[in-house]
Amino acid sequence: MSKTLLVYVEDDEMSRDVMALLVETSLEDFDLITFEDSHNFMSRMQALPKQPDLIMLDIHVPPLDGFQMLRELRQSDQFAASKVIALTASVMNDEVRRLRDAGFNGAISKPINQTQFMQNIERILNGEQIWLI
Amino acid sequence: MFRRLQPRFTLIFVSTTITPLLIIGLLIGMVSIDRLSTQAQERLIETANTVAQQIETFITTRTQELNLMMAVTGLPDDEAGDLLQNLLLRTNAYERITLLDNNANVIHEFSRSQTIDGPIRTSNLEMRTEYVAIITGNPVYYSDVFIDANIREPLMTVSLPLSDRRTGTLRGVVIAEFRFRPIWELLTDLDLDGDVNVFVTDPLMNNIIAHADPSVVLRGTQFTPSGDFGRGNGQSADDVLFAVQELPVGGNRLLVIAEQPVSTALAIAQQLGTLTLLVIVLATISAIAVVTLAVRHVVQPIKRLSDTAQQIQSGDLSMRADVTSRDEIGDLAQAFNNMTAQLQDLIANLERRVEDRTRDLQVAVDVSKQVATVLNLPDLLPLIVERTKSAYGLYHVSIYQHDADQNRLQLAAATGTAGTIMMEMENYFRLDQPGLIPAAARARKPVLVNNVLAADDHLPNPLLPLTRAELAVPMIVGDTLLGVLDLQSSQFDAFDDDDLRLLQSLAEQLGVAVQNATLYAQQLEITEELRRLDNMKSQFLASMSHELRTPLNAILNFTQFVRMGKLGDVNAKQVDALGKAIKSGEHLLSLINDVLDVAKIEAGMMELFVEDDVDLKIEIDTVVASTSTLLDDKPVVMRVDVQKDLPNVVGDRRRIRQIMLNLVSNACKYTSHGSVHIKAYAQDDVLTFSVADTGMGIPPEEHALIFESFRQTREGLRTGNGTGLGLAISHRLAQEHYGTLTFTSEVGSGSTFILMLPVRAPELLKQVF
Repeated sequence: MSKTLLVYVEDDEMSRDVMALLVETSLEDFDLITFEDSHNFMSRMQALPKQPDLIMLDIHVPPLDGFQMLRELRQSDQFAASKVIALTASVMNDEVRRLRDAGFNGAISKPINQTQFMQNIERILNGEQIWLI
Repeated sequence: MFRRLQPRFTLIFVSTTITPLLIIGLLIGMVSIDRLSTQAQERLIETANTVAQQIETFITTRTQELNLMMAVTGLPDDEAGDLLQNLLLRTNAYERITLLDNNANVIHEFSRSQTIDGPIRTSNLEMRTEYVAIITGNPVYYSDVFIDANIREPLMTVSLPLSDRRTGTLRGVVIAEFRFRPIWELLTDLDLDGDVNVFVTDPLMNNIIAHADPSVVLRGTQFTPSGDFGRGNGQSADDVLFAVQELPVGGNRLLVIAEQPVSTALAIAQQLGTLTLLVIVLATISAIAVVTLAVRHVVQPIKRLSDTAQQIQSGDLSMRADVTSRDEIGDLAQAFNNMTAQLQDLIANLERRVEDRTRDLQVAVDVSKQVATVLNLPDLLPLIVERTKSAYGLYHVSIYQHDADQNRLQLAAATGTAGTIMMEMENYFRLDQPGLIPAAARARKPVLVNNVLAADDHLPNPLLPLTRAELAVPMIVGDTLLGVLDLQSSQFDAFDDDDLRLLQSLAEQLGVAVQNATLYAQQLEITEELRRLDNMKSQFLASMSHELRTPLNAILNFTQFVRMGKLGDVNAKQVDALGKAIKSGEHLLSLINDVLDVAKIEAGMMELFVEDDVDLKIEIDTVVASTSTLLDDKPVVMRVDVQKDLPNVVGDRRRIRQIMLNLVSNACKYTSHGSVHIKAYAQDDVLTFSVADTGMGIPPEEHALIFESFRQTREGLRTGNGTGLGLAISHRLAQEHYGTLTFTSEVGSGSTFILMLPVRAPELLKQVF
């Protein structure tokens, strides 16, 4: 049985490290692939060894932001139905609404609360929508 | 009806005229009737007298006739018989003549209507009064009247003695029956006027014995007069005047009666009465006519005057009284018409003036209104001058704005080509310069020159050669001189006092509009600046939040990894220290969140993330779990009573949890011993979440500050916990949920905070995410 594949696009190195450590120490059945920017985003996505189970996007990633990346994913055949969530430090509600309207499956705020994060990942993978819990 | 003049006048006039006429007529009538009846009576008496004399003469003639004949014969012989027979035949006055001797033997007897064959009345003649009276020595005897059985005529006998011519010895008696027929004829021949009827009666039998109409006698008509004379029932009519004349014949008497119907007798009186009545009627009619005409002549003009006055009163001032007479009423009407004409002129003039003024005012209002809607100063001022110019038909209008810094009046707008040129030349006046515009600004009052050619202080503008009158009106709002409105006309005396006042008030309005536009421009600028600042603030807060949270993510999580021993072994002291670091990091995070929330609240940008099915039991568990550690080192018991079937609510899960967390953590922080009692229950669609503690309580003087931003109780400040934002945010979040957050508190016993939320607020349902 293959592991659950997470893709995380994040320009902040610290955040990427936190996520990597979190998956390594707490999520044994998960694999994590991180992008440090959004250059050639779609081609890199298509070059993945397997279909990701969950794509986590930071909103402020050059050159494409989270919304643009989502649009490209949703427009592709391969990722149109993929679970995509925003991992953001922005907590303005109007932004949450924009995220949902854009087609995200959920949003998780930074800083990450480790305990809650693992629960929420499970819930999202089960099909729930989680907004900034 | 008699309230009107005409009928009243008519009534008065007619009654005063007709009443004396009637009285006089009646008096005349009565007097004349009296006189006439007296005269008629006298005439009747006279007639009766005359007739009586004629009858007497007739009887006397018969008697003398016989006497003469007896005297001629003297003997009762054939000669006497011949004479008597001759007499009988010669006249129709006798019916029968009988000659008797001393022994009452009939010697001769002659009858007019009967053939006498021998003695006819021989029997008992000697016993009869006719005979006896003479025998006993009477010279003549007249019998009673009797009706002859054969001829049905009344007859009377006269008896005379036949004496010897020589010795005078009585030799016989002649008895003659004479008729009254000749008297009838006499009566017939009487030429009497006025239906006068004369007849004769025998008072013994009451028979009528002579009448102009023989049939009356022959019918045996009886009549008894009702007196000697007077008025009563007559023979020929029911109501007659009559007179009776007694006519003695021997020992008898006859009555001669003359009568005349009252209707005839008083015919003249009646005619007079009729005439009088006619005169009265005619007089009345003519009086009424005269009065009507006279009254009409007087009243009609008055009525017309009155009608006209009423019409004028009802507003038709064009009416004139149509009265042309030259009398006092004519004068009155003329005066009235003149007065009305003056009134009409006056009103028309007044109306025209009011109309003019109303129009001017309307124009002023329109201009004010139009300019008031324009808040953009560069657009407003040209609009003002153009509108004012066209509204009042002026030659040129300009506005000079007061520049207080440079103490001058700068041209800000002007009409026409001249205006454009002046604007290009950036025309201005210093306040101390001569001229109307600086003068108006200095005096802060309008300055008017109605003839610029004759004015010394007028500075002619070569661009405006047609200016004849100029009015400069300062625009002053409050105490501030905003500028001068300059109005120029190509007419002399273009501005009167009314215009001055009107334009002054227009200038005030325009001044207000200018000031509004200026203020609006400033306000717009300020608003724009504020908006920019606000955006900057929001932007700053958003990015600050983002920028602060990102490093916190690393700090908190790495520390957590280390503390949890995921990066290698850590001892108890290190775990404790790292725990404190995490706690501080979390505190920093909550401060960041609070500041962001307050910023949102103040910017009106607090937006709920509303879900329609929030299970608060889970949220309460979370809150209890995350706050119970706060009580770890304190003798405080946390009690939680949550209604088992607590309904799900509509709301922002995270925000409601934030409120509950705030309340519970406050209770835990400020309670050193005793309990923190959490209750949650729903009743009547209202969910109540309360937190009661046994802390030190809140002093009354601080109650009012509890829900204000950045305010902390003294205790809060002393302990250095929190930012003083938590309750303010919670309070606001409760309101955003259409709920309430209240508290009760007593110093020393503790506080109870109560959050009440509608289970399903319809307003929130509309915002469901």
